[in-house]
Amino acid sequence: MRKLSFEFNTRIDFSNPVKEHSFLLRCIPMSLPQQRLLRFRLNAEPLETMGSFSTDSFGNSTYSGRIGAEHTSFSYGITGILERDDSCFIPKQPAPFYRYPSFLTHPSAELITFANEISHMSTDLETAGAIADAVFGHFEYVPGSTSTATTAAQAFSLKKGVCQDYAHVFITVARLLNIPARYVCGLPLGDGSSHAWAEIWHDGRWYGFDPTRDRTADEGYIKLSVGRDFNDCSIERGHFLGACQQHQTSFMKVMEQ
Amino acid sequence: MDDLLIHKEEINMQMARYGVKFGIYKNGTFKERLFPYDPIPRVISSSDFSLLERGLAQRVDALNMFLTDIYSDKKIIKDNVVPAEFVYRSPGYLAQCEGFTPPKSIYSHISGIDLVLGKDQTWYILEDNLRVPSGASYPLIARSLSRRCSPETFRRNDVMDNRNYGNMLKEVMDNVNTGGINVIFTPGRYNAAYFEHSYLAEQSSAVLAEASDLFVENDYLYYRGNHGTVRVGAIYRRISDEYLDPLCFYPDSLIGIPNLMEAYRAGNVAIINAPGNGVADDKGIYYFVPKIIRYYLDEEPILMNAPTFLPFYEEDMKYTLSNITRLVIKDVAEAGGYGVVFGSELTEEQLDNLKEKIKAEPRRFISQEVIDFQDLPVIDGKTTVMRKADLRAFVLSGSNTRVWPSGLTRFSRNPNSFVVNSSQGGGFKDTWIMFQ
Repeated sequence: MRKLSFEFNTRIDFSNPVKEHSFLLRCIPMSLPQQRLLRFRLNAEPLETMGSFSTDSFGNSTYSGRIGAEHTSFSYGITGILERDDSCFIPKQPAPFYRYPSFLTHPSAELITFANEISHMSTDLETAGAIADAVFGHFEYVPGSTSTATTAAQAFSLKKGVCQDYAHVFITVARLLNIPARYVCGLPLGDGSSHAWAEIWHDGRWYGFDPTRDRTADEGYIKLSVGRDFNDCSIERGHFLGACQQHQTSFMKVMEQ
Repeated sequence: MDDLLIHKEEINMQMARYGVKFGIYKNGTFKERLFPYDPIPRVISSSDFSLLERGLAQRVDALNMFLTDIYSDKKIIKDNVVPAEFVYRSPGYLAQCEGFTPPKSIYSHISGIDLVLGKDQTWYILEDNLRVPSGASYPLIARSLSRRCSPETFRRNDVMDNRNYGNMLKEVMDNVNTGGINVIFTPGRYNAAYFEHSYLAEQSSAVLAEASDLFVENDYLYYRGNHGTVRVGAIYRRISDEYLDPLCFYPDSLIGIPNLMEAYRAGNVAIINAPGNGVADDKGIYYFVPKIIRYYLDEEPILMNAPTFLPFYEEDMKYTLSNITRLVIKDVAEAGGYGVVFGSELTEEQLDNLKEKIKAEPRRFISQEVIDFQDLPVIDGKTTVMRKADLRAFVLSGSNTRVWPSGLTRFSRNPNSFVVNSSQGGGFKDTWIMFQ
């Protein structure tokens, strides 16, 4: 068991005023037996009304709101303390949609060949380790080489990408090998920016793999949101009126208590 | 009835004047054209209609139960009636709709079920349309114009009035309304069915709104009107699921309402039809509908499917490959008459290609026997010609499931074509349901 304190702040600056800004945040850590949220404080500004909290189809906590008046920046942040304990879990079946391709994880012929070259180990857990190794070996980490709309197939043939692309390729390959897999957005121990990794389902529970760093995602990883791919669980989605450039700055820090 | 025939041009002119148009995208550009009206009505006897009523209500009720189950307990998959493959690989399946059941468990409030009448006098279901089926306004306005041109015709013939569609639609919206006004949400005038959106709003006393008139705040949907902002309790949206909410589906949708899905999932607004229905009107799921009816209702289907084969099953694959020249092959991912191929029209080489495609992706195709359906007379200049026609019946699920006593009869322009989809040219007729 590990007790972690976390802090995550994002600020978006607009070059011209925007209005009618609707947002949907998934920055509140998930509440799970393995991840008990002890306390948190969420802030967002500007705000005009309370906004609303909810849970989506993937089990993520969401916070949504709307800013009608003109504004030139939007920031949100969360701080808190939680307990991570991977030995706590309630065995259950994964949602069936984690077995099938999603919008960003449709396999290409290239990816199918790649998947077929992964050697099957005695358990899915070991096979997943082999997938993480292969994905790590295939990619060169190049910030800015892909966008949030890049599919697994596109990133794979580019051989370059960021954590999102590593995770998408990992998920695509795992599903091709009949291992249920999902995408995770979250905060790993340390500081910098938010991260993405993947989980596979094995023997009643989810196991985390971080193919970008070629390691498992252990109790030092805080899960903010999960989904079939990035589109299901991005930390922030927004829609507003106004023609402008956006500049985003983000900072996160996770420390062991 | 001759009286009505004389008025063909007049009615078509009236419709042009009222803007009864049908928009179509051809080679990437939007073209609006008139949807030609043929004055000879399709006549359905009251005994035939009562069979259709029972059969269609049964089918739509079962499909609503199927959707409720798919997005919650998934019993039908666990009981091995419908393979998981066909649900989760369907482009119409939306994981974002999991774990929430819409008001009164109604997913498909307005269903457009396409049928044909075989030469054997049997009605066959061709396709279910449970997303945003369009077309009810055409026979509706044609009827009211013909009544005006030729009131005598309707005094002499014992035809059921179809002008209650607006009331039926209103009842459907009121039934699930969670508090607030009813709105018909249109993507705007560049949509194929814009005429229909405005006409139905008028007929059902709902407000016609575009994305800029609507917004979500604190999980409620609001309409910004000339007289202030009011809450919306039911939204009959005429845009497809993917564009509905840019924060939930396609992020670049400019015609959606941000956070509409949040309001919906909070139970504060009914979306008509519910998002996610595409999983039940998928051409692959079509094969399973008779099984779905038996499973949920424990009844025998009253109306038959066209004989259909799923190459997904080995036996059906064999049958499809060896009888391909007399079958029609449909790509399950396509709609609107696209992706439909008649084996008889293909060259040897094309047939071989198709067979390879089916073998490579069996899940993607269904094959069907070509139904020899009845031709209907259509006026062509001064003579009458025979054309293939289908019927889109409108089934409305409110506090009861009811079939609108009319329907859209579409006929093909081309004498040899079996494809009667309005996206593919052709025209329409009024559909008369008789009291006798």
